[in-house]
Amino acid sequence: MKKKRFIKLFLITVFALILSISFTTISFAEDTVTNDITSSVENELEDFKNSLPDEVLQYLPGELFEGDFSSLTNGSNAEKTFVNIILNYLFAGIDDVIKSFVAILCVLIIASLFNILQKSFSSDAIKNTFSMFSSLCVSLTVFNVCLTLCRGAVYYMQLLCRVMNAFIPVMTTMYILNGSISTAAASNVSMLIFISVTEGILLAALLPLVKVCMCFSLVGSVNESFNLSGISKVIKNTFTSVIVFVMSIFSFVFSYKNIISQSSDSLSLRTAKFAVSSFIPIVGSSVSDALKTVSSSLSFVKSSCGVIAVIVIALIVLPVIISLILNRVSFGICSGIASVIGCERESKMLDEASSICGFILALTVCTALLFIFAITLFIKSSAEVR
Amino acid sequence: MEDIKVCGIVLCALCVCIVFKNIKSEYSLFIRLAITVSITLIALSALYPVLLYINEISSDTSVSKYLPTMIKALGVAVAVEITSDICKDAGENAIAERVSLFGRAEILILAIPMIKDLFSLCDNLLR
Amino acid sequence: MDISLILKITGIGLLISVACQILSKSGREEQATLLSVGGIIIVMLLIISELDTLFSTLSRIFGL
Repeated sequence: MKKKRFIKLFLITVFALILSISFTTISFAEDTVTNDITSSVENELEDFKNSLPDEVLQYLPGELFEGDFSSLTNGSNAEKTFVNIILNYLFAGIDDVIKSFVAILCVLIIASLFNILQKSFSSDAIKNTFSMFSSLCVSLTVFNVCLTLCRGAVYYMQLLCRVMNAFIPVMTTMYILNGSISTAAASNVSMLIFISVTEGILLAALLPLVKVCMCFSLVGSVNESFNLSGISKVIKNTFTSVIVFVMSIFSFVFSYKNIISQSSDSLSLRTAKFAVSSFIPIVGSSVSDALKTVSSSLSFVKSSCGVIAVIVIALIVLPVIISLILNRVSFGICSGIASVIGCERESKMLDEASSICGFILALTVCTALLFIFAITLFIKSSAEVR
Repeated sequence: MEDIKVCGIVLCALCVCIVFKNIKSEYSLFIRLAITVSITLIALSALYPVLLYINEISSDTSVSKYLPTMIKALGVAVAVEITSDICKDAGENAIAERVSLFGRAEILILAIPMIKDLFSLCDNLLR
Repeated sequence: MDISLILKITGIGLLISVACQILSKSGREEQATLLSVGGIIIVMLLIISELDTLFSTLSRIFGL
């Protein structure tokens, strides 16, 4: 379900990017001429579809060109519909988060009821067996939720990685066809290769660490005597140091190359920096440092492709991050509730799940950052080549 | 009022039990059995609405496939506890321990599907 | 329900113990033994029906 949604979202955004580059006249339409706009949009869509080569057409989904654009082009409701569509995409994960929150709460209440019943047994053996049983039940529920999150995040990162890797041969070809094998071309392409390599490190080396951590906490929650927290801590420290190292190399290289110029410091930027560094664990400080570069690259994209391109990039990048943040918050709240109810072991396990969510969040934010820079480089190179 | 009556009955049965311990000790075992059975039946009838409520609140969440197993394990534990405690009171520790071992084995057998689920979850995570 | 079973067992137990004392004091030991065994069997029959109720209730409530 999620995979299908991601494929559809990605292809729609690619199409919208191409559309925004080619059809700038649509944004200059007036409110009174609504019917003309709708028909002109459909005509231009038909022309665009006919001008695409067949090999490209067969890869695009059929429903991409059959849409009802009248609600978007009809005067007064246009902005509201547009904003509604954007908000629906951004907060698509909220339903799942609320459902999983309620499910975990139910499981916690049942576990506390069973705790009370279990205290009435006098023999230790049966007490321990029964408590292992009930914490097994709770951890299975919680980690099923984590599994869906992990799968979604992995698919998201793999998709972005694949897109970035696909940029490289296209860019190289464009530069070669243009005839300029100059240092600017070489540096841009090498930047992109560097981004892809970093992405590969994140995906191939750090994600398995997170998965192993998750398995350890799942198995360790079953019984108190399984003390896997030592190994878990070592793995978490390795993860933290590797990702901080990778991000600092990345920001050092970027600032040294001075590929994308810096923009000025402002209050909104500083507020955004503080919010980012507090919400995103581990790499929050390096991401907030890179925020200046992100804002300047987004303004470059806006100047070359229009505001719609910035919105499209936000729609690609943000939904998974928002859903991960919400899940992390919900795990934290459930952990607090569990310790109030009296389920100490479940509270510790939910804390672990929350921190694992934080790790996945750090990985996805790094990927999103690299993706934004890669797209900027791609657009910049196309601007130079033309 | 019903609950306090139960405490009164238990105290009377305790007195009778101690009286019989000195004259005919086998009858004290019977008194013990009788009062245990009666009190357990009263406790179960009080527990039944709680279990019904737990079933109700978890009817459409993901834990509902494990809940019947958990309640079965609770039932096994209660039955085995009763038996083993009565054996211990009668002085037969060996029998009590073997019954407790049986109870633990039963609960572990009930836990096997959940352990299978745990391992398949780990497998999915690592893939 | 609860009290009746306990009262019955108490009654039978007291009766049997008094009768056993009288018989053993008057010299009929075997009859005393037989009487006490008979008393135990009667009480066990009473208890078994209660145990049956208990275990069937347990299996009904917990779904065993």
